[in-house]
Amino acid sequence: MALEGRAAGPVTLRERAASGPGRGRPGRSSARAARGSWRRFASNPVAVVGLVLTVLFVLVAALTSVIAPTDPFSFAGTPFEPPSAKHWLGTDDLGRDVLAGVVHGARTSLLVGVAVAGASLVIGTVVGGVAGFAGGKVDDLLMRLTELSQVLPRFFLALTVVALFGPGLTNMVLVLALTSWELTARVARSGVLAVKELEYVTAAEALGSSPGRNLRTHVLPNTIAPVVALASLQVGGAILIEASLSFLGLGDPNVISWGYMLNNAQSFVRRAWWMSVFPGLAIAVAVLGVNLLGDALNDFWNPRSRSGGESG
Amino acid sequence: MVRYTVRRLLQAVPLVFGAAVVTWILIHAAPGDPIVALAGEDGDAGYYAMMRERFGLDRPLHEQLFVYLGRLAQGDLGFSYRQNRSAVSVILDQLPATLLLMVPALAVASVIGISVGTLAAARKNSALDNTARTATLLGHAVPVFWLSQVLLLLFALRFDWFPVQGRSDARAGYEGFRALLDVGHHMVLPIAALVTVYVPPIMRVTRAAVIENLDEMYIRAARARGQSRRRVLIRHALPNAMLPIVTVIGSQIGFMFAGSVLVETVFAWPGLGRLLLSAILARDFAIITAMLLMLSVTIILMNLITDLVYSLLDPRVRHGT
Amino acid sequence: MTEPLLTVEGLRTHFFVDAGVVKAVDGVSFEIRRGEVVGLVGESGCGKTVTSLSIAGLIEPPARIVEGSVRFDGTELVGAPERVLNSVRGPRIAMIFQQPRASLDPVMSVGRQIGQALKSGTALDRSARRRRAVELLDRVGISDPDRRVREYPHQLSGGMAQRVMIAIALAGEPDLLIADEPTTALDVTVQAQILELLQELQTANDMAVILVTHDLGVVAEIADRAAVMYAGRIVEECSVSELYDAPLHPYTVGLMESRPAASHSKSRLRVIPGSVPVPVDLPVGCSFAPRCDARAANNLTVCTEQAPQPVSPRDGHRVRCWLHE
Repeated sequence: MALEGRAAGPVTLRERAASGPGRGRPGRSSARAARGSWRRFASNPVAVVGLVLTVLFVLVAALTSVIAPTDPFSFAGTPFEPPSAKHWLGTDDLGRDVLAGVVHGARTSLLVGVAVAGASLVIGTVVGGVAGFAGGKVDDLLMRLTELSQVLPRFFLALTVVALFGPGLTNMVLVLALTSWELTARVARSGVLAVKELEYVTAAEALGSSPGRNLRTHVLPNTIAPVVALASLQVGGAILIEASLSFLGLGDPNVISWGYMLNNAQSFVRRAWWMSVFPGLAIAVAVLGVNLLGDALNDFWNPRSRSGGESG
Repeated sequence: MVRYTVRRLLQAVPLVFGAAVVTWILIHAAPGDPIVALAGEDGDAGYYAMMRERFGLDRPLHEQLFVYLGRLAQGDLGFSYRQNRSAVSVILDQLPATLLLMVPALAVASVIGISVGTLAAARKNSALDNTARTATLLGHAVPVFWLSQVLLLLFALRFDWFPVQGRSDARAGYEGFRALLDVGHHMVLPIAALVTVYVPPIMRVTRAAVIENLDEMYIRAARARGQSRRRVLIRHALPNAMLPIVTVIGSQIGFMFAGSVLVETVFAWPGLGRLLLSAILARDFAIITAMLLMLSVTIILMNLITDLVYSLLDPRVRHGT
Repeated sequence: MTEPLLTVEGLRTHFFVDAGVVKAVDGVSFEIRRGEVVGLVGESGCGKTVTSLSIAGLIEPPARIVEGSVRFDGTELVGAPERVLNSVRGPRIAMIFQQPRASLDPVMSVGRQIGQALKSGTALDRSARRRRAVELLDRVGISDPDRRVREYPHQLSGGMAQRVMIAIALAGEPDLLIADEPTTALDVTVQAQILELLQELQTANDMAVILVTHDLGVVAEIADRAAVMYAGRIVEECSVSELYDAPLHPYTVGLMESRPAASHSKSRLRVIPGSVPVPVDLPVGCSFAPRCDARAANNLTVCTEQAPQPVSPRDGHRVRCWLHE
């Protein structure tokens, strides 16, 4: 903690959690680490289940046009048909095929999840990296910003943004990414601080290379793995919030999504249970898969920074 | 202790300011006239003129922020044209109904999460532990509104054990104790849904923290002075694990409100959820932005309370080491 | 002669880990009489701490006592129910540890932790326990005990924390105190004070003490007898005076010579070559054989083929070494 440089107040748990990763083994060979992690990964049944479910989820999203070539918005049969050989998961109030909706919804959820994780990864790494590297006032300011992003309620902020700016996946992804980089930034920052202390950076500085070059060649490669692992934990939460907002009728009206299907099902709970059960099951399975995978990645890369994480 | 409290309070001020600025930026960045974002979509000209004046929207931009912050400082978070009342009073009216679900759900979830988490930690890798961990993983993945629909399908529609929706059965016209019982009956399913999503983070953190503390040397020392396994677990490992547990409960307040709003929507419970939904439909933005701001402040306050609870739980924090 | 207070016989405590079975304690036998002080000596990793935890029944998975017996004052402790062990630990067998501050619960006041020991060891009521806790703190040389009793571990120095641990240990007036490296983590000046305190309390209470340490100087200061452990076994056991004057086992000889104090003359400080074997795959025969100068000098082949059994070349002096068969 001596490196943290913020003497005020007791060390909060979040700070303690974030100070661990990145420290201690920054210089290890990444190839060997990758092999070791794969072996440990493969011997963990939870991780394997997570990987299988995630692959399944990604495959469904990727092969949408093969599995369910029809437009999920088009009429496929009579309304309220229960599950049958023709419509495995039944049809909804407008006679649309529920299976087609579930399959096409996977694409939307995956898109949102990956986009949010990717964007939060970039924002978090940049903020944390700059804060750690610059130190001083810049560090203070950015960490204050991090604190702020942590107290803003993600779900309600996303809801407000979508309500004010109009529904659309881009708005949703942006606001979710802007509220989910806190832990990533802390981990990136402490990683940078740890590596910054190492001799080779000092040596490189002595040779007169620029701080920007140091960041690129020494610091980033050693902080990137834990940060990527952390970002993987954002996917599940983003999928859940997207589904929650769509369920409240704030989803993108032009794209089929699991949340939209559940919103629609809410009016017909008494009449068509299949309209509720299957899209929700799809969310649960997809989120479970990416969460398990994310946990396993973090077990390896961030053994001390596991957190419950907010999910919608 | 007093100094500590004051210091934490002072640290919270910039956060509240930041949250207010974020809301203000949202209102101004939204497409269209900020008056719409502030006052809702279908006000009449007189109402808009009044709101413009009140929030200084006719003044230069840099002054507007100060006017806005000034209004907030007076507790004015906007005025709902549809309800013809201030946003704060509309929200505060609905808050008790939401708390009626949230508070019992949080209490039940804390008891379950802490006790099962502790037992699971004491018997690591036992059947109980594995079940608890699997349940935690599932609880993290299941969308609460879908879970609510499934509970409703099963226990209200299929088995008819519980009423389908609402807070009370108006037609039955119960009075006195029967009426209370009726409300209680309506609360069971929504609370069950909330408990299911509140438990996982609490249980997960409890388990991890208790396991970590059971490895500490003072546990062995306590056993060496004749304390039984059970006493060591309850009197030593659990109290030392309370810090992260309190943290997680405190930090999940936003998540808990979100869960409640979604559950209320499914069960047609007359609380903040229904208010929010009608505000979205009516594009009554004053309500929405006010709710966002109130919740942000609540979260900041909860963090503050969490920190103060720390100092009650841990002498090291109390003595400022 | 009366029955010894504690008899350890053929004790084996093994760790069952992924890499295999670690035989941390592998056939340890010794006795201790009432009021006697025995030093259990060895390098780190030789199994001395695991031995002391096994005696107190504090072995947790993945470790397990696989064989042997620990008889304390007529009661067999190996395999005894938790209830019995809980009533023995504290009131009858007390322990103090290497890390005194970490051994105290950080969120419980000093007074309450002493109170816990008093509750299980005595019939005192709450207020009497409070008074007794203050007395005990005073007894172990803590100044201002009325104030200290309300304090928390983080407010204590390492030396004070160890005094508190000793007060807790004394609370039940135990017959046996197991002190596991009680001074190792402390400042040199504090070390001497704590040792002096232990010695004084031992004499006053006529308490038997097992002193687990790597420090032969500490043993010389307060122990009556010494048992030298190597790779999970006791290789030599004798009085402290014989340990100094006539050690028999080559390992003990090496230990004595590698003490800084041994280099009083101009002779060089000796170092035993090699390191303690990992007790996963111990060598066949004597486990010290690979590091043993005496074996090489005497050209003994039996050492690497068969494990030596304990023999008694002199009265009250046992050793496991082919040189003395």
